[in-house]
Amino acid sequence: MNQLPNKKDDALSSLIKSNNMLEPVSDQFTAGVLAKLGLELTPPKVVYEPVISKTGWILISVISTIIVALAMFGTTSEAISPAAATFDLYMRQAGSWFDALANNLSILIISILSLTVFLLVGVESVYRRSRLKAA
Amino acid sequence: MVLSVTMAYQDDTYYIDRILKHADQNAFAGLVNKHKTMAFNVALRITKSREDAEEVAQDAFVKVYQSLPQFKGDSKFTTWLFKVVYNLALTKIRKKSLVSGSTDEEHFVEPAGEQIFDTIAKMKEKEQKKHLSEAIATLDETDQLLVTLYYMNDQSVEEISEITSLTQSNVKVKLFRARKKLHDELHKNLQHELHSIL
Repeated sequence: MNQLPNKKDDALSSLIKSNNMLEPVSDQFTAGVLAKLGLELTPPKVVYEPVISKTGWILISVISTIIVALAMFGTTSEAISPAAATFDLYMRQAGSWFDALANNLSILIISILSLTVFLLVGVESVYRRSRLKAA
Repeated sequence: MVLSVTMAYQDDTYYIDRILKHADQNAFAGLVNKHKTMAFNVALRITKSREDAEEVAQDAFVKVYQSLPQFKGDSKFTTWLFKVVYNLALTKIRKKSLVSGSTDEEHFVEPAGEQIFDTIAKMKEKEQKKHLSEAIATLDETDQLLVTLYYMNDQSVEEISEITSLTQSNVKVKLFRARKKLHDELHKNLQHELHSIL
């Protein structure tokens, strides 16, 4: 009796499958179907995320505050730990600039104002994010 | 080496649930994108015209969308979809008075040897495609459709029977006959090519 060979073992099957014998459909096909039904695709929702996260702002603020505080009040050479000593060394290397900053009143005022603006922007960003979430 | 780029699609039931429960139009677009090529090719095998095939396949999706609440999932979604495509394509060509070919069963013939398929498989991809396309084009519309569904879309004989309303034994006979004809056509084409070279 003549029977169709098992598809898995059929040489013709693997030959046809290895060659894509299907004709491509036009690019406008799906749009055409939706138009016939009077449907429209809804664009995916765009969620805007701030470039710097809340944690990032806090970290930047803390680091900036520490740097400015160190620049203003400085440290003595009596380092209490190797890490502090290394940090102190780097700070001393950049000391001339920080000294100038601490000794020059106008630069000091500008720095404090900049830091204030920086912190306010950070707080505003956190507030805006909490408002977005609430909405 | 054959590279195929396929998009990752969800299971049909995922799209159907989203359409029915959430009226998600994007899900319907996903369903259309997933099956449009096969639906178009089913229609093309019957209508022989790209324009008609596209119109038929689009109308089939419209009909399916409108009848989706009645879809109970007794058969596969694709079986239902292709049945709609097939019937619409037949209606289209009947309207155009272009119906041709016979659905009568023919005598059984001896099974085709496998050598010719192996020979083709050793050829370059472009050559393979050319010979296969030419051979498939010699089949009548119904046989082309059966070959498309059975070999290209992995539908079972039972599913093809449901789509085309032919009996399962008729589908098997037609597939067997189509396979034999493909074999003979490929053999003839290769011999002709050999003669022209020599």
